[in-house]
Amino acid sequence: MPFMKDNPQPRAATDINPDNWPGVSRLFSAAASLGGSARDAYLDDACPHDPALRAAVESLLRAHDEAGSFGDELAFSLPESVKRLAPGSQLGPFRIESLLGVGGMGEVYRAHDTKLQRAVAIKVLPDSFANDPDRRSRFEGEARALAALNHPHIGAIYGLEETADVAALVLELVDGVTLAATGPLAHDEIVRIARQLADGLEAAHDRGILHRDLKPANIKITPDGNVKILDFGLAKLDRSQVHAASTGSATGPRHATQVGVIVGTAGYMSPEQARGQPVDKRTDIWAFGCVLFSMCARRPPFEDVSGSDTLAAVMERGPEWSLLPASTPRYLDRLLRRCLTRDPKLRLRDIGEARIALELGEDADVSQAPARQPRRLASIVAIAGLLALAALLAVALYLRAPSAPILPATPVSFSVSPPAGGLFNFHPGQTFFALSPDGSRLAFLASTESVPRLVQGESRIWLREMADVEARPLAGTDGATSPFWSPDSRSLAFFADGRLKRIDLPDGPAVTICELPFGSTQGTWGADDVILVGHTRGTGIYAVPAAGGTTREILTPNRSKGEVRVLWPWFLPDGRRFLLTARLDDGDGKLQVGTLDGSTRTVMSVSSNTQWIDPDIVVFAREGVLMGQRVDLEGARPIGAPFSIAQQVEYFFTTSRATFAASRTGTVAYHPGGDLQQLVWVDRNGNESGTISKPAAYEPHSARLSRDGRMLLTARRRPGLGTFDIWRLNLFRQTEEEQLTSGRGSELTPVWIDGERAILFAGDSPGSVPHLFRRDLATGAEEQILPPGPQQLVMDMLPGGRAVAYAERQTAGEFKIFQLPLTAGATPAPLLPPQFDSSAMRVSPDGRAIAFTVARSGRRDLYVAQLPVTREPELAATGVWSAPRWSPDGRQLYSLGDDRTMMSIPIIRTAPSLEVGMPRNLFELKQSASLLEVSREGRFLMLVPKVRAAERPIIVGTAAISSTQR
Amino acid sequence: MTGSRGPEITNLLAAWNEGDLDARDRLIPLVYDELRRRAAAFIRRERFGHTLQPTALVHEVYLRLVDQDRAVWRNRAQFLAIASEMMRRILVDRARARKMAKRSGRWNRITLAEDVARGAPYDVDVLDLDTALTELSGLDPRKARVAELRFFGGLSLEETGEVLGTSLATTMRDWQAARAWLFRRLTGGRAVQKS
Repeated sequence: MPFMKDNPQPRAATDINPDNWPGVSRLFSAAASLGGSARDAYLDDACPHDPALRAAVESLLRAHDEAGSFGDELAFSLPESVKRLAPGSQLGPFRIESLLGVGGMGEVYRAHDTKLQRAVAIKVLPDSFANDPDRRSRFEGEARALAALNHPHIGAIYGLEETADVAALVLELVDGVTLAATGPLAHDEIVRIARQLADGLEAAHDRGILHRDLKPANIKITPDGNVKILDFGLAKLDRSQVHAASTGSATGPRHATQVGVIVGTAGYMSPEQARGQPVDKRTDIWAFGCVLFSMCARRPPFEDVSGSDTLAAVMERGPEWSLLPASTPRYLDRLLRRCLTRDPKLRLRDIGEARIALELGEDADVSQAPARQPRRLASIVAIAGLLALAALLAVALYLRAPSAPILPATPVSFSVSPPAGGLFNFHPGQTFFALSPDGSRLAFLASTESVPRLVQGESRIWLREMADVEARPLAGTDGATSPFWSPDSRSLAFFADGRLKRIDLPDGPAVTICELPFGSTQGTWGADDVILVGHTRGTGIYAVPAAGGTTREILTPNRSKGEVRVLWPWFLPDGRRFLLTARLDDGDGKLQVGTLDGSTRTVMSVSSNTQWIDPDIVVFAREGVLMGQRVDLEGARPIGAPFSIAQQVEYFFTTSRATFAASRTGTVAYHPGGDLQQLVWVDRNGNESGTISKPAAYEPHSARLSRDGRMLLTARRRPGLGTFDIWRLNLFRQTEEEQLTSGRGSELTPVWIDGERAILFAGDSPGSVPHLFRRDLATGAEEQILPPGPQQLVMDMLPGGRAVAYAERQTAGEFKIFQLPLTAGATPAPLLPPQFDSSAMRVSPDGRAIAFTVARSGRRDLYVAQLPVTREPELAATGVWSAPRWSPDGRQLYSLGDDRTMMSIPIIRTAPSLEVGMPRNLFELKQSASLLEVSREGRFLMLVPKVRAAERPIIVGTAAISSTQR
Repeated sequence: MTGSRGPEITNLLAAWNEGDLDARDRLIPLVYDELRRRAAAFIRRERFGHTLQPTALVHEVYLRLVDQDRAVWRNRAQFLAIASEMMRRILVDRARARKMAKRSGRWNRITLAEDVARGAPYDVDVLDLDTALTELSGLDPRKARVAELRFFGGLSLEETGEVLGTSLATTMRDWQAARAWLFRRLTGGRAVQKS
């Protein structure tokens, strides 16, 4: 039938091509909505002299009319793709006898090997194998490796048989039933099967071969009771087939090698497998755990009701532990929990360990309960299951080399990460976790929000049983801080909403013990159910009954002995005495033993918080090193020398508090701290245009560019110590970095003075707060500008460079800004009207104005004022985050908004009157960052987080102290 | 996807967009449902051979999604848009793999709109559709993208507009033009002959 007989056109004439497409599609769209004659009339009118164009449009319109529901619904048909083999047919030397079944890759036949005269199984491979030489050769290589896997508990792969149009694997024919088809199994039978499974897996893992799809349907029990694992490694081959097919396109995912059909079966798939992440032998260990669970519970750990529900369970909840019968022996229960740990890093590492556990059976329990063991060593704490064995081994090994003073925690340490996607509630100088006295439980503060916020995110207490692998949040603990344990390790107390509260585990409600009229970051719960809490300012230690009541002051600093603070009470096991740290007016500290009647005895010099390990060890920190010291409590004196337990423990120099916890049994947990940031240049569009130096911990308010923009002053944290030193970086030669200060304390907020030949900064020493210092860069001479007093921070130099503006902490905790002429005998004077509290201020380049932020009711607002400040400062922007920074020409003020936008505020003029424009947003930051400086070219110097301390794990280990230290 | 879960997905996407990996994990099962539903729309009319199951297809889709964890998810529609691309890729990959097997029979075929009145569905090779879309993309990338989102992701016109930042009217026009062009191209003039 001719094509359009009334208006025949050569096909080329109706071509739609890039040249005519814009016109065609425009006319088409206009005409498509019209019908019949209206359409013709439109086209007559629209393209009167271009029949080719009209023909193209009309052909498209006809297609439009014809298409009907085309595209509204598609159906994809998938008929058979694999050739069926008829019984009696021959495949090489193999005579096909019958179809055994249909598997994931293709049909499986029973066949007879006419050469070797034995029965075999033939698995026909998808056509794609037979027809792609590359894939086939890769497959052959893998098949050879699998064929080398000769083990009594692994179904053998004999080889690969290929004919012109069929490729097939020749497999050992295993008679019997699959584990999926067996009925309930007795305990002994379960263990026997599991041991053989572990044995087979171990042999394969030793050769680097993973199964990847272990499940009951892949496990056969022969009539004589032998276990055979089938289809070893075949899932991978199936996977590689898909890879080959998917790598051909440029639009594929970036990591094509990690992508494929999901191998494995939803109910037996490890979480990492379900997420499509790379897998290793721990994925088989997970599946092994699932199989073992299925045998014990007679149901799989993740019910395969629907694929998505199962996946959700695998990834969100973990197994349905309640399905395990109560009769399940403890060691099996523990083994299951070790195998079915969602985080592969915490999972049982080696299937051989499972085999050993199964062989030892209940005997393995002997090493599992250290709390009930007589303690022959100063401290041994089993962490969980098999780790305990490792701990014993480590200690045993150590004891053979008694010359070393201490076995560090590392040999048996493990780490506890914040909940998935969340952060620890980490703040320097506060311990956000607590170990139960028996060492079996770790409580920590974390939120499930991964985005740091100005306002503290929702944080609560999470409980991690050491024998378990997952932490769980405790209801009723929202906003909790500084948790601590009851002596029986069964209750937790914490601070929240200005109250001291307790919660009885496992599921008790949060109960208020008492109102607290002061802030506290430490409590301790004694054997007689008395709770002691410290005052954040160290003005006293208070007691309250754990059952509830009112606080009673029991101890205050002994001024006559130079004590200014009493801090961090920690009960000793008798429930009557406690450790505390007394801070002296010179900044040093003393470890004391206090009693409930208020008496104290000094043991030794210690500045940090302390905790206790039985029978006689005080754990404390000396700067960033966690230390232990045996003490004679009766004589109130140390025994022997202190020894180190762990390095690089977060240590907040300002308060001398270290972030660690110790159990009476010798488990030690600590946090390495360590926010790391990167100095970056950001252009006006918000794009990073360069980095400066290497990631480090910087103090975000301490950065100053030199006038020529070549030099940068920063305050960088000393790793493992927690103090900041001022550095000078040459931005043009970034290898040139010079440490300008190295005091015992921190040096912060530097500004250039005296033509950049000297700096002014705030420096502190242990136990004191920062005060103003001047340092001559040529001679290194330092002088203190103001006598010791409350905390001071440098803000900026005032016009003329002869006076400094600085912020000083006031009694209620707020900062006020003062000005101080840099002349001998000068006295400071307030810079701002009294109602303005501020600790962030910058002088404009012309010296005629200042910009500063004021914090009020959880919000920071930006003000601008003329210098000297005689009139009411003008509100320039609300809801700012960072300190203001001036553009080099003084025409703009920049500040980061709470919503992470970079705000620009026009400064229309500073004299004779001040005029400020409306703020506008320049760009939005991709992550939280600090604005440090603005370069002469208008680039922003910013500090962006690289590693957040709050996401680094807590290290948990055993302070294994040898008997030689007894 | 049931309507009630829509906001949940959106919230999770937002959280994921903020870098909350926990949200990603909570999202996956929901996405899985969503994609399975869409996969089923492709295949519900046909009997399945043992080589491909709807859930297997969706597994592939969702693995590919998860693998792109560095992508920035703007919202639910953007997410589905990426899913559409993946669905296209999966179908094409499969078709290619099978094509290499020489005995490519009917199973590469997409049945286009089984028109009951006409009786005979239009059989179109997946790879032909892919090629046609690629051609259309050369001609008019936005219209090709509209077709891809509609064909492979099953996005509504509203969602399509949201992804592409076009008004509903423009999306509708794009879709009509793309659909007509593809139909014309894929049916090789058969539609035209009927006139």
